[in-house]
Amino acid sequence: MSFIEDIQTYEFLQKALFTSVIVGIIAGAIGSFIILRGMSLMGDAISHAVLPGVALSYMWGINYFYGAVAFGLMTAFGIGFITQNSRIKNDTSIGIVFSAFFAVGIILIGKANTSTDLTSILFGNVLAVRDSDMWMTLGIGAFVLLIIALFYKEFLVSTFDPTLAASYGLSNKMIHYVLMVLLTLVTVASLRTVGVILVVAMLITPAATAYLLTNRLFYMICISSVLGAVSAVVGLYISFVYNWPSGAAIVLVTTAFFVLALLFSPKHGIVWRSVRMRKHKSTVEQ
Amino acid sequence: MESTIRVNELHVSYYGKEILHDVNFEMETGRLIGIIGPNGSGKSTLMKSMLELIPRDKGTITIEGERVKSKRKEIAYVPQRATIDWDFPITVLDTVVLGTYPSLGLFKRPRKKEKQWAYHCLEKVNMERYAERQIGELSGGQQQRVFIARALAQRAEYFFLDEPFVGIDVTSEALIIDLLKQLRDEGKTVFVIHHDLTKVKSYFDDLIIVNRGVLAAGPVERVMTQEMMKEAFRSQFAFLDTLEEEAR
Repeated sequence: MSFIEDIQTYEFLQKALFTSVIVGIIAGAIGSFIILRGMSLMGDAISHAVLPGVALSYMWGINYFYGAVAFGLMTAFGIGFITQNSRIKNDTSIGIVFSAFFAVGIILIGKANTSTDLTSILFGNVLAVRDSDMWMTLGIGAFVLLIIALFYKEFLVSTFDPTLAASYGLSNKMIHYVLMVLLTLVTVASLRTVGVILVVAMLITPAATAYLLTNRLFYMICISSVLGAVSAVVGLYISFVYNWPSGAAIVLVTTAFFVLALLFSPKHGIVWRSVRMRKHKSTVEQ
Repeated sequence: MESTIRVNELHVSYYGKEILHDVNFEMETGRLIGIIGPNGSGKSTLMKSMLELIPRDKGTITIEGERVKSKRKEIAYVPQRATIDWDFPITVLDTVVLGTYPSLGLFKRPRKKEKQWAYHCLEKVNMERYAERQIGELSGGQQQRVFIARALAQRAEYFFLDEPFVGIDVTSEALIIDLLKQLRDEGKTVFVIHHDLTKVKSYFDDLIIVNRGVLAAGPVERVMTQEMMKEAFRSQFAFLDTLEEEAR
């Protein structure tokens, strides 16, 4: 297999692969909480809204990590502020805030005059992953998984039954913002591999696939992470062999897994469900 | 030590619309207490504001002389069934294990001891056979029993149940009311929001009658008079009157 040989030969491919796999794992893990809390749109919002942060970082010559995290958090707080202080519903305030930030980002990127053009931020360019990006992704990955491991219990109860959480003194608001911080970090880590436009797919598609395959949150997180990692490897392979953009290839692999689960999941798949229904019908008729 | 739960001058509003006006009452602990009133009268709001789950404009709530805040871990609350996401990836046993979380504290995981205790609580509601099922696979009555088991798992002193008997089967209802009476006999205090007036006398020791405020609170025999019922359920009685007239 030339792909494996090439990986052994080319360092840039090793870095690309390593970074994508980590992104697949952490996006899958945090994505499980995101879809169960009904916050898929929030993932989309934060990923778009980090754009001005990235642009400003380039202008000021600092690591794009800081700018992106700052704008991601501003978006989360902005959306929360509008929802809590007006009659505007959550999905609407998400739409307003993230498109505004995204627009600012587009203008700033134009002014920034960097060699990194808009396209590579929007759609990622995994083959341009530098050492610093790789270490940053590794650091973010370790931090995100550590926080999930430490607060798993609290995330679970606040997601499933926020009233129970509140009734024994947990702050759902606090947990929400911790998850927003993690979401922002995952988005920042995915910038290189899939780009801001497609990050949301890494967050929700593997998690949604896992949701169709299991009835336990812990397994859902594990399956989702594995699917994210596998999709990254397969997507990168396809991108390498057919010369497709890496982000798009990875996302389409996650979609393929989702379609398979939608059709063939033992419990919730459309195919088995209709087979079961037909069987039941025929026994009733007899 | 005081053995009462006291609500003083409680006012609650939602977006400027008043829901509860000047609520004052004092209930003895160790009793099974029904909260009744017509739809939209503020029963759930009263319960949630007693637990300080929603903000209030004014008022104090004390449980045996202490603020709710310092009593949180001794309170078990069972929400309305409609507020739960029944598709959530969680099993029956794990749902009951959630009841042990308040006593575990941060960073500590539920271990074998907690799981065994949760299983024991499931046995009390005759649901141990379903321990490994996903919660959405159960009937309404079974789901309610699981949430009662979770409340039991909290080892609470005070229980607050919001409409536990809505949309459930007769067997589950009988089992739950027996359990609640047992809890009362063990000295626990149980508040239950209820809508079926016919069973009030056989179910509860005390009654709180709610309609935008508390109209009356005290022992069932004393509070549940015809005049009081008429006042509380005026709108619904008026509706019945017109039906009767039309029938004639």
